[in-house]
Amino acid sequence: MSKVETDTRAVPDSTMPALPAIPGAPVRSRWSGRGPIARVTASGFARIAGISASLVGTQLLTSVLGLVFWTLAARRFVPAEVGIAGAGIALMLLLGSLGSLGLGTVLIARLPSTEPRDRRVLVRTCVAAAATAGTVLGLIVPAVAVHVLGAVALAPIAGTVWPLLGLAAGTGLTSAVIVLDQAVLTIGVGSLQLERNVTASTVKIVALVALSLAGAESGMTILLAWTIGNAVSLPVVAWRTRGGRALAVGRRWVEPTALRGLGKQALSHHALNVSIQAALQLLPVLVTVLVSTQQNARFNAALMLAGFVFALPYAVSVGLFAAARGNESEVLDRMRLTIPFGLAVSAAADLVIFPLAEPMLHIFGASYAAGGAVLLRLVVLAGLPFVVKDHFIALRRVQGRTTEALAITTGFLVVELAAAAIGAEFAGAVGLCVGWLAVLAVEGVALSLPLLAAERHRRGGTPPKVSQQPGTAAGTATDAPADSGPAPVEPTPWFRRNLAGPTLLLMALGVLVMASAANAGRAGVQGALPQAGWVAGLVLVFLPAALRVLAAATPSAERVVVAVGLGLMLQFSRLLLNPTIFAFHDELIHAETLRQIEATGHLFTANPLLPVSSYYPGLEVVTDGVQALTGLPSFAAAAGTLLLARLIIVLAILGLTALITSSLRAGAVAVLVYLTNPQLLFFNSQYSYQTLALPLAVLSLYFVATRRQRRRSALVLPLASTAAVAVTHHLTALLLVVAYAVWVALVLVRGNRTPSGASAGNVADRHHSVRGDRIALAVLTLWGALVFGLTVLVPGNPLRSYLEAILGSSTADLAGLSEGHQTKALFADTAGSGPAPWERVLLIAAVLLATASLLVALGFVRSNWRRARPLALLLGLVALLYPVIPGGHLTRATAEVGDRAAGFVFLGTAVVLGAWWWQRRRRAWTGALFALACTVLFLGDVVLGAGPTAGQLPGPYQVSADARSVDAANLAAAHWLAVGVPRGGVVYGDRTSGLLAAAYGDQTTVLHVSTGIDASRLLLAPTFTSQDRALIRAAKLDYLIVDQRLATGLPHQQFYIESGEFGGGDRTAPVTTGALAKFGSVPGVERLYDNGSLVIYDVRGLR
Amino acid sequence: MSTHVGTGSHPSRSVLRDLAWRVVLVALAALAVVIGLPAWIRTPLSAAAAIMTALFFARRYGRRRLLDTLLTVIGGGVVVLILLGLLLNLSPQGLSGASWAIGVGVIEVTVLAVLAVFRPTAAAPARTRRSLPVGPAVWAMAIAAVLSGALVWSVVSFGSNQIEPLALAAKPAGDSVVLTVTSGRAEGPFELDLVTVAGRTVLARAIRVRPGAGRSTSVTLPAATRGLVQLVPVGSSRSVRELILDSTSAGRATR
Repeated sequence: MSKVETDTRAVPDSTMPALPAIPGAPVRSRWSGRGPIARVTASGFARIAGISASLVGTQLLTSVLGLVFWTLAARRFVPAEVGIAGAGIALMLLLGSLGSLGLGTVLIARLPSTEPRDRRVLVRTCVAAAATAGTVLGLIVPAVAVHVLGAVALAPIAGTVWPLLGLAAGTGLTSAVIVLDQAVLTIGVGSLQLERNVTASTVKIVALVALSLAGAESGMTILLAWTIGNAVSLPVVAWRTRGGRALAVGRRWVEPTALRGLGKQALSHHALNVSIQAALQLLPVLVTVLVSTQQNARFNAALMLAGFVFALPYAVSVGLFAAARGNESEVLDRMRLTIPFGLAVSAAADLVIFPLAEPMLHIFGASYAAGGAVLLRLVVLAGLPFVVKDHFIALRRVQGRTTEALAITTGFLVVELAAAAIGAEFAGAVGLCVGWLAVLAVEGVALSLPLLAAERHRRGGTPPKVSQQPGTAAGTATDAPADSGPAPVEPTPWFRRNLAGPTLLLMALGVLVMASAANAGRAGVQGALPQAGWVAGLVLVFLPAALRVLAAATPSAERVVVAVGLGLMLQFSRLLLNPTIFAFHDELIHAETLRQIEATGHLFTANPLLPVSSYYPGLEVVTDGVQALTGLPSFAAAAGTLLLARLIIVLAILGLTALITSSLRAGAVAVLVYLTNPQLLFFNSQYSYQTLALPLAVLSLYFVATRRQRRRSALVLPLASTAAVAVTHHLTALLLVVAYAVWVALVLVRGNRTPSGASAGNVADRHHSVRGDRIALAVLTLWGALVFGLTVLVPGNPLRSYLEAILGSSTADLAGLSEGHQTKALFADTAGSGPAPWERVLLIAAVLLATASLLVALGFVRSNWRRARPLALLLGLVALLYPVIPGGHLTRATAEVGDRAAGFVFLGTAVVLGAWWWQRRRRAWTGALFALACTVLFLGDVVLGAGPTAGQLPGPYQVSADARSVDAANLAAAHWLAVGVPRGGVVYGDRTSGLLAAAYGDQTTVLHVSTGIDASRLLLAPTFTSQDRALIRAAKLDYLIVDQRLATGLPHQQFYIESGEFGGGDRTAPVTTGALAKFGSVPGVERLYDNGSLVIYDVRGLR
Repeated sequence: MSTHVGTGSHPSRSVLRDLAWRVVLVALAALAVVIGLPAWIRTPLSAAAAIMTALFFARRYGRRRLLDTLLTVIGGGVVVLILLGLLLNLSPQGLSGASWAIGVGVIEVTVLAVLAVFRPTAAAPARTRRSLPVGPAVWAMAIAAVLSGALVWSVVSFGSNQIEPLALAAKPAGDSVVLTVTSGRAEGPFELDLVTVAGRTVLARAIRVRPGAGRSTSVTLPAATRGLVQLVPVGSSRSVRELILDSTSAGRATR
């Protein structure tokens, strides 16, 4: 007996299409209704009951034998070994089911029309193919699970060669019998399927007892007995079908060519079957891996008993499908009885099992009864949502909408497993059941809606609403009942429907995968697993969106929704890294400005971390407003503000591109391309002024381009948004003014040129429009310059020196580069770590792809120059600046400039590629290829902008590595400063500790950028000297924060504290422990705090 | 929802009714902020007031496309917040909850009133009974559930990994110093020793700490003394945390 038989829900669904209809049974679309009996009979329930009884009978016999097998196993082996075997067999069944490749379904469909002489070779070929696939899966998946993914709990069955080979053989055999069981249904040799199953089950029991009596004690013995049963049952089939040999002609034993053309036919039903079965087969594996083998023994026992409850409603739904003969109306008619019947059976079973769970489990043993009763009570509750799910699938099968059903069941499967895993993390096997059930309950409610909708439409006599296919009449039904009159219309292909919901759900699941990877990194999981998970999550978020946005058949509304959704989800994903605190360098700077606004109620206060930032407080003003109006904490208000900023930029790019190309579709493609820019995932999604200024700048361009000319209020919005940019970020404001200036110049140069073929009226309109543009843009250029100038003139604004410092260092580095002095290694940071080889490949591919886009940009510029379209021309010219981004990475100082430029340059690239793509002739494969290219561009650009994946994820402390340097130790020190010393003290520390002291410790941090004092020797010089004392006096320093871990490595981000620090430049060795400990022996200095990693000195005695 | 077309200077009764309840909502939201109601009341009220104003704007200004309306409302809203913040900065009260509430309330009411009086309603198509968009709502709920799950999981994971390390801290209190041992996990037992030139003195024995429950001990350092305070696990001679106290420190005088 296979688990297929003991777990009664796990009967392969692919038998459904071939289930025989009961001859002579009436087929009626409406029941006449004269009393309950008549209604039941008229509804066809008798036919369903007949088929269901047949199925249940077979199931029952084999299930009872399965119960005997597991009872014996439970009583003869220790629970841990039973748990191992349960997990192994569940894995074997799942992989066996996958390995069957849906060939059983194909045989059901093909065998009746196959020549008798060819039947045996077709069956043998399918069985052999399934066995091979199953064996390969049985070898690879468990080995990867144990050795790569670290599922050590599965080591007893797959950790060494012989158990692994045994598992692979068993899996191959399982695949073979799954295919065979379905084939014999069609061969029609009596009750051959039942005979084979009974034989297998009986042999398993005998083998188990024999092996147990022989002294075998391990879980592998149970697995072996299981496999022996399957193996012995095969000759039975061969013997019972021997009559067919005479018909076979002399051909080979297997004929691979017989499989040709079967793939597509099998795929849809098979995938649906697998998605239905997978949860019940994977849950035992999850319990084993995440909880324990002992718990899995109990869980397995509970699942087995619950299988009896699931069997009847399941069989009824199968019977429903088989009896309907493809008539949707029949299915809907009969569901009115089968759904209440299934729910009633499940509810009754729940009522019986709740009080009797413990005694029922006693058949397995006392320990099962004690530990498994709660599990059984929980698992059996799944019967209720299963009734709805089974009926939903039956309906979709009969409607021919299996792909849609597959997408939905697969999506829910992933959520079920994720919820179960989360539950297991928190509360073991019980938590796993609760998590799984919670999702199942939601699933039950969600799937009942289409059933209700279908029933409503049936009653209303109208076909269900479907999406409209281009070129077809509105409201064309794709799922019209067979008996509803005219010939059925060809259904709308699934890819033409609006799949925004499933696509976004898939992307959300990608975010969930990213969360799991980030959590694994945070928990210190070593190896490639967290990185692989992170990249897989990114792909899962980006690729489905790219495929749908770029597919020609995608409805326009879906394209827009998915593109906007992608932007928002990528912004949301940032919360997974540091979900409750600001942790990145720039975030801490702006958090300090925000804190000062909250504390003082006023803007333009001094920010010691980056003085220039407090003169551009637009971001903090919005956050403060959101916080004040909602009462949310600062961090939540900031996260909300950033989501708003992301929404604005994607909508503005969409609108701007749509304006230039007259196509929202091109706009959606432009959004997709923009989201691939190197700074999007990290830098331009952090709490920093540019993150808001950039969207406002694009919004300003949009407002200018869409203003209503000849109206007095036409410039109100552009003027206001330009002013907002000017008080939000200096560089963005400057670039916006430059953009206005170039735009007006292009209008002056090309604006009056009239396109050939234009009518006189058009020419007059155009001249008027150009005149309006000239005036408006001139006004905006002056206004932008004026407002920006005013911000620069605010007393104390250090913008000039700030920009001069950047310009100076960049010029020096470039001059050095021209003389052959390389200041930056290409694929390494200053600590010597860099991207892995695969990441370098992605990075180079991304740069090559983006460079290739320059050719498109050149064509775009040329075309729009000829057509005299100044705005398009402006954006095309911006796209041509792309070489600045990778080129900037050649030197240390310009790397940041190049990175920051990405957010601006990709605006042009996005519009250019959006317009280009939409002018091309689009085929399905070119769309897929472009989507793949965009995904590669995205992944490569993430590495270019944010460094190696290992560094992007949370993890153990690293020296001067932005968010990776923020951990519990330095946060604890900062929080102690807030309560342990007076507020507003003057402190000095390394790059991270200094930031945290200001942002979370309410202290004033000394930095060269704000005070002009370079106090870095206090931390980095090897000995204490009079210079240190002088520095402490000059800076009026109160406290010195020393992170002793600085001595463990070189800084990842160029310096320990700030640019130009003591011993910086060409540092080749970490700061010494002596340098960090020197204040411990200086008289007059007290050490007030020590947490093992950080110490805080009171240095006021030296002032 | 009103389908009446306004006449410019004489808004119809239904428009006035629409205007009135929105103004009341805006006033309630502002009041909630001014009197400092908790976030779970302020957030939905403020959001509802903003959304209702935006919808009124969209309806009465809404002859453009949806994208344009969205950008105007969302982008314009952010721009208005920035400019209002600059304006509030000039007021003596500055940027406070009350000033924000009043400022935003006044702007919302002004927008509503101006639109009601001066803007005709966009010609609305004949009203049709629209069924509830059950499908999109179900998908949206599923997506929101998955994203919420991811966020909650991250928050829990982050919290469980941010465990405060064992720390020893000193805080002067008059002539004495309060020594505190804290930790994010249960630790101990420890012994707290003071080491000076005069020898080792045990300040506290069998110190056990639990998360959120530190252990404090007060110590008075003799005059002109420099000493080490050591936290030593019981049964060990090696200190795990160490402070330096110096009664001669000039810093003491300023505390």
